Amino acid sequence: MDCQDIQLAILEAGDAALTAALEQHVASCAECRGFRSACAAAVGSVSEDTPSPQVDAGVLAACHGVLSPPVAGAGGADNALPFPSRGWFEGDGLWRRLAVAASLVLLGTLAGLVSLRMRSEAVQIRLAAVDTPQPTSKSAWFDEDLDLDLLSLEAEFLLAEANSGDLVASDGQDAAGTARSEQMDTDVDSLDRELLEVEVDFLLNTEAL
Amino acid sequence: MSKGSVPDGQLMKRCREGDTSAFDTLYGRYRLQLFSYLNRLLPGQTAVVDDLFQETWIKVLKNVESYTDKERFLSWAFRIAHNVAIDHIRRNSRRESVPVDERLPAPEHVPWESMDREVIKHKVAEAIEELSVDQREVVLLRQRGVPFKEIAEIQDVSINTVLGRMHYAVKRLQKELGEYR
Repeated sequence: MDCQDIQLAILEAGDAALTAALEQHVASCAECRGFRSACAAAVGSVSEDTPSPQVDAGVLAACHGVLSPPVAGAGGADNALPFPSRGWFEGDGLWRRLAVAASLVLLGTLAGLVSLRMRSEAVQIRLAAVDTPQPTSKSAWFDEDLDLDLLSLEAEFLLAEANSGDLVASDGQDAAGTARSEQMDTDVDSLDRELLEVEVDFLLNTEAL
Repeated sequence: MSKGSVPDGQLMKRCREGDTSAFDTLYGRYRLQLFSYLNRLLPGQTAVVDDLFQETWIKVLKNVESYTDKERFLSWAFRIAHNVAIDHIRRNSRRESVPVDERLPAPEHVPWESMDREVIKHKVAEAIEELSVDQREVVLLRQRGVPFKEIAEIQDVSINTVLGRMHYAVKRLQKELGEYR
């Protein structure tokens, strides 16, 4: 072993004792003895520097700020909340987040307004395209209403007629149905007679002339 | 950590839960070592050291999840401080270095053994400032009881490289002190 190997052994040993062989070498070698003393001086003469009170205060304030929002995975109940955790509103990015949120709200509002305006225009265009007849006067409005009333009455009558016919057709053995049918036949007969009388009168009058 | 006090691992666990008092205890326990390390690694840069010191503690908290009880808190914190300091040095592109003098004269005897203790401390501090950052860091960490193996992990080099740096640093110190006969 040369001096360098022994000096590396001194370094590795630290405060621990060297082997007898190494101790013997160090005792007889001025260079290695000087190295050992220098090593002890380098490692042993430690006096710590102290940060200023301002630095201490700054570090503690900054670190408490980091600790304030719950660290991920630590506060289960807080993390389970459906809204953003407290940390979202704190820290350096607060203003940036608020600005982003405000921008999103503004964009959403603008998009909504544009969409409403476009829809309104489309409805107007569609209405303009439909050829709706416009009534010219008040009497025209009344005529239209009258026509509608007559139409609805006619429809009701036809429906009633159809229903009565159905009843007769489906339940021919029904006594009431039979009676109604006979009544209708009687009415038709009387109507025919009246028509016949009118016709005869007409012919007689015609011959007299 | 003194005997009977709350273990570092437990304090770190409480920090993880947002306990500020646990952090205060941890800070009080290690603030001097970390501050001295940075202050002597970057001598004469008081304002920078203050900033890096604060950055180191903030990173300690931000990386609290990666800390395991298996490692010593101080070694783990020194690794963070080392990264913070190295990042600063790289940002400023001012890699401090001292040309390596491989032919250091060996003193024939140990003249400074009789020097006053305070004078020796002063001379050691001066000599350490003259070293390169890597060599200086090895001495500073050794002064704070960090084993060579952990220094190798902090510096991300082999243990032989760390021993070589320490050997050179001590030889240089030996030379510096030898001039004060």
